Amino acid sequence: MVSSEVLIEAHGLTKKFDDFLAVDHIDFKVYKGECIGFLGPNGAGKTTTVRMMYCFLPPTAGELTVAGLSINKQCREIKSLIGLAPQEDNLDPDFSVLKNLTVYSRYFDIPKSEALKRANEQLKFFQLEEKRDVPIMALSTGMKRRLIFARALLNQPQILLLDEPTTGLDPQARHLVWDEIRHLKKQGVTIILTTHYMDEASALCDRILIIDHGKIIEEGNPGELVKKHIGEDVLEVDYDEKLEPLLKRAFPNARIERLGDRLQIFTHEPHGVFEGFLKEHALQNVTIRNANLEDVFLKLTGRGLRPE
Amino acid sequence: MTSVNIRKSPAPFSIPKLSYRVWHVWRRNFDVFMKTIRVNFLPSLLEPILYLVAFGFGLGGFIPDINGQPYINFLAPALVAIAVMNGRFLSAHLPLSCACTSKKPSTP
Repeated sequence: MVSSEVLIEAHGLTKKFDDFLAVDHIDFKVYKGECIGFLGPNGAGKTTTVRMMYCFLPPTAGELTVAGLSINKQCREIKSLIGLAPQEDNLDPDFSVLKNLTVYSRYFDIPKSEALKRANEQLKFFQLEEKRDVPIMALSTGMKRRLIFARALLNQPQILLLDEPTTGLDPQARHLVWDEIRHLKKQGVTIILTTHYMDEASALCDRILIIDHGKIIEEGNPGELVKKHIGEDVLEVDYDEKLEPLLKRAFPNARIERLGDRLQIFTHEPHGVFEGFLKEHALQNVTIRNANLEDVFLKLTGRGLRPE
Repeated sequence: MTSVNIRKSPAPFSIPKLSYRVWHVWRRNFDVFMKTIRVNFLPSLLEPILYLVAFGFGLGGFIPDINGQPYINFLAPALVAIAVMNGRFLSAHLPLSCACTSKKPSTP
């Protein structure tokens, strides 16, 4: 479904807050019908980038166009095209659940009967029907997140910006949101997603951009990135002083990392490379698992914690 | 790709270019007002009445006509003006001060 038509394009996009460079001259393209994921540690610049896309923050320098419209001059047109689920809860606390949706529809000139119809459909899909007339205060975090997502779909957008849509959701609700994202993708909606969940990015995104310190450090298809940076298999064993040199001898090309009391061995060699070693040495607590996006992410962005 | 245009921040007091959609925002505020009318509207209605009674009957009893005008002629319009000013000031500044002090930016 991904076409070659460029929908969102950034050139040298930069955002500076006083002395802090949040987004540092980034270039990227988003194609029509694509689901693109922005990954990065806290404070890497994901949300800032997305906020510039919906004209919430003016960029310090650079160019950004959404559907051919400049974010500096044509905010109104852009805002009418996109659906937005921001990270923070910005539901209207003065209104009930349904009223939140109908008031929001009004901003898009959706007639009242149509707004009511769409709102009820969304409530039904996101299993919030029973909460129709409940004030926002009485909703749980997960319900709020679902309502924010439902609200983003009211204007039937062609571009959907989802800033951490599943943070704080239980697994059931998460899968509901994933299903809806997949469904929208099939309909040709372009989706921009930021997330901290690597499984979410692998499951949904056609392409991911890993951002750190305001720069894009890697981009590509999730599966290809895993192959490129990590390989096929990862061996995990309990840490043992004697074991480390043994492993180093057996897998000279592998990257061995100690994580607390566990050792992780990453190798680019094909599937099944560890089996011979395991037969020779009786090891305890051994796991061979598939390499995943989290390994890539941690390799590229390091293990250090980020100041918020 | 070195064509980087530096965006100048807009003049601080430029007149915003409004569209007819401001009506929708007004409608939202009106809906909130109607919903919270008991805590919004009644106090600002009762307050001037209270002052009118207190100053009109209480203090007003001690104040003679000034230049032929009774004190109530001075008091009543002033209370209306104060009520209008306070009401508008509060409803305009409360959301703003909330938005400025809370860390969360509020959209849209």
